[in-house]
Amino acid sequence: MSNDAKTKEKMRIAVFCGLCILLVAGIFVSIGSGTVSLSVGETWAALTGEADADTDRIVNLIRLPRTIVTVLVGANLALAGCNLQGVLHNPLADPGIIGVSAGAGLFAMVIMLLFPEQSAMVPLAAFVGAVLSTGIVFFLAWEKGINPLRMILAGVAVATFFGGGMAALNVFYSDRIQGTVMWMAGGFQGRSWGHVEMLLPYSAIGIIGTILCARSLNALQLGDELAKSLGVRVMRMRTILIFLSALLAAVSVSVAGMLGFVGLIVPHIMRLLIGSDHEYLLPCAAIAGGAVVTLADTAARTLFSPLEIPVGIFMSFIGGPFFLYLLKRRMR
Amino acid sequence: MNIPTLHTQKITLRYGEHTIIRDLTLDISRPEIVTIIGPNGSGKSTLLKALCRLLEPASGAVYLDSKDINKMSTEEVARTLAVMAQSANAPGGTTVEELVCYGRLPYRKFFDGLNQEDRLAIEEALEFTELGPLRTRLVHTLSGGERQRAWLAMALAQKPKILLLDEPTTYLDVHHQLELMELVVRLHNEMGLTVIMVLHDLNHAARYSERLIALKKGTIMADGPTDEVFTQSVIEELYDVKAVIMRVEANGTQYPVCFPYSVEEHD
Amino acid sequence: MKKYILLVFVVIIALAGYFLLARGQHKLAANAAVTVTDSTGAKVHIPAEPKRIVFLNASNLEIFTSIGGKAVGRPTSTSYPDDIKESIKDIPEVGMIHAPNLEKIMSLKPDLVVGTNVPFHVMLRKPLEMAGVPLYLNMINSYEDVLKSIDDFGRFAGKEKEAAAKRAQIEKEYAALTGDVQKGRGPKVLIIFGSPDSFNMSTKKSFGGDLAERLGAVNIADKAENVKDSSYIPLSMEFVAKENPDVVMLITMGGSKEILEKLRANMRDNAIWHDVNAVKNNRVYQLPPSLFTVNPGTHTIDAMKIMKEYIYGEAE
Repeated sequence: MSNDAKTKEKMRIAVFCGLCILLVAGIFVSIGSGTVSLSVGETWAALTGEADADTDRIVNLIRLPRTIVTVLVGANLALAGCNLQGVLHNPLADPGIIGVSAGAGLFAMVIMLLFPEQSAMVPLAAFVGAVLSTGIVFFLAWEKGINPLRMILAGVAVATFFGGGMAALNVFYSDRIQGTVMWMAGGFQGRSWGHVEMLLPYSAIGIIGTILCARSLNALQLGDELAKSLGVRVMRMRTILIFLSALLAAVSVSVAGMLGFVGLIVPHIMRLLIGSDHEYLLPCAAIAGGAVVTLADTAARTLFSPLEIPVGIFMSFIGGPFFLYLLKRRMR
Repeated sequence: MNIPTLHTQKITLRYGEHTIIRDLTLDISRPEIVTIIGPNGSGKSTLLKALCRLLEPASGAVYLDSKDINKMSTEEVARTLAVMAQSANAPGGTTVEELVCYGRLPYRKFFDGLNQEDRLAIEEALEFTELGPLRTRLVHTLSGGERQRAWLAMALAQKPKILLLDEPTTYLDVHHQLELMELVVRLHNEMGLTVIMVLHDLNHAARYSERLIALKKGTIMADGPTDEVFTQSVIEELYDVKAVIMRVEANGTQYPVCFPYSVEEHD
Repeated sequence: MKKYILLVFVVIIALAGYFLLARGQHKLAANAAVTVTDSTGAKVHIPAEPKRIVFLNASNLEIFTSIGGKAVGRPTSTSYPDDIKESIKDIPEVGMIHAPNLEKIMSLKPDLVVGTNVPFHVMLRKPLEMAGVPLYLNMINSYEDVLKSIDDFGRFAGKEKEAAAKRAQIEKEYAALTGDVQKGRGPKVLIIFGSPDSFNMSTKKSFGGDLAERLGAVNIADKAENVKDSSYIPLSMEFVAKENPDVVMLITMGGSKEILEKLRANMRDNAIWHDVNAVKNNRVYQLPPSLFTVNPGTHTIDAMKIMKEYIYGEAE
């Protein structure tokens, strides 16, 4: 990596533009792919209301909402992971660490196993569960402000506890468990406008709020004391940032199930490409997250059509090795 | 320019159950170079932390310009006080200029770019620490001495009236120690900053300070101009040693020097 | 540069908002003529004579096909009984039971979709509704449910006569099978349901348990306390030792051979089993997966015949 700042700036701009292009391409590919393939022109026609009834139905009822969901979920999870890694000074932090997945998973499972006919309530129940478990973690971690180490420990404790609940349900309802596996693995089958409605407000708050705090997040990297002497309200910022992360993660896990990888690894990949300045890192991570999840979802549902592979599994297989490769390059 | 005043009123400082300092009253109301000296565990760093708002007193209060420092907003405090990091880590990939930029945080609102005033402050800070030519270098590629100057530049960019330094020379070799100390004195002379330091090295403390505060077991044993505090009786009692104080002449100037030669307990 | 970044985000979110608000909901199907109530209690508006029905699970499709119905979409499954495999061979697949592909379903232009009460089918209701396609969820948990399903699907397919005939045939065979048994006077049985994580006892709320009860067997699982409405309760060796069933029947999830092996190994190694009548008299049987892992639908009688054999130890 060159010492020259100008090269760095150019690299950052190049990466940002590249990611934007990737995202837009991903969106078009996602809308254009499925049982019926659409060209770019046909996709555009469908989006502007100029296509025939069938294409219009497929695009506007199925693919468009699904694509919006994948973009938002990807962006949310990547941002949440980025935030948490910065605030908790822990490169292994991802949204699961604050207990979001545990609560969401348990509550979703309860609905799916005990009241399957209420399955339309799963996102809402998952959200409530996520908020509850995160709240417990917050409470346990509070010591005149969030103590990062306590938060990590509390997250593990809560995840274990709720995980035990899920395991118990597994045993008592083993005949129905198959119906929940696809949700647990994380995926976007059948996600539609209802999910978009649920995602939008929380995503907007979370994304815009987080980006506005980018500078403070940078200062926090210098250590609590220096940050404080630079005028950053350390405790307040930390609480706000974790709260925003929790919000982003909770709503995403509620809609998409327990999608791993994005929150943990996308921020790292971005950091390798453009460095740790959060004013660039956060937006790039969000866009990259959206692009990655959208493309992965498109691949997951077209490669073995009509069978859909859960996106989470798909991304783990592709992403893990890719990350190792990037790391190896950096090490040289 | 009004002179900033720092005043502690009977402050008690604790970490958890452990009380380090009890009912300490201190006044720094002139632009001067003050150094706090004392043995390990005497509370030097703790006191410094309290002065720059990193530690809230369990009782009593610290007043900056007659306002309770713990009731002021962090930004407000950061515009008057700056702390120089002892050994901090910049995120990898940060350039010198970017690091100094952080110093402008207390002045920038949410999404502002750098305005004229910011740029000016950064330039002045870089110039003063002679880091101009190194501005696009990554911080972690600098030598120890250069890095310390970079952190100092960041503190300067805050345009503080009071600068606090907690054992800034600990990780530096002799050459860079002197270099840094000279820089600090220049700061005081040219910009009229009040400098409050905690120093390990007694001779540095004597040579570069106008005032010394001797802290032992959380209480002020002596407080006054260097000549009055840097005496055999004070040093011996402060550090439980036997020592001689001499004057060394070099380059036409007389420098006070302390030579501790054996240990001895004092009550 | 930073301002542009923020702009990009505001634009993205605004676009998303626009698409959300600008696209209204689509109307319901124009030819919704009849209102029926499905197994989940939902009121569904379906066409009087649905012509294009897509099925999401195998057992519902089996019943529909065996009374002469022609579906236009079927789930991917390995559990179809031989007698309908040929006739459904060319029907397009829409995905496995817990992973229905919404696009595939829509591309078949259905006027009715039939599934069962599992989360991923329930979650399709709203998107299908927005496309004007009704979703009917049909659960088959008991012998009575099989009969009801035959009636309902007969109406859907417009094959009421064939459905009635099928039903009559099944009822006749049922009467023959159950004529000589008395409810609750038969041998004590235990039906073990094996999944990868645990072994469970099937109660009368499960399909297998329901059949056993109708065949006069005394299902020890029904005697357990705190059972409430569960179809399966975890296997307790103490309980089994106390109740001492005469016959043990095994079902494994997905017909898995590994789980069966695990079960059998457990019975060999765990000493408590050795004192149980069923094991002592070598009356431990595996129920055929094709009839018991998935709901047998119109082949329920075959399932009952086999089970009766095992329970009473008669040949034929």
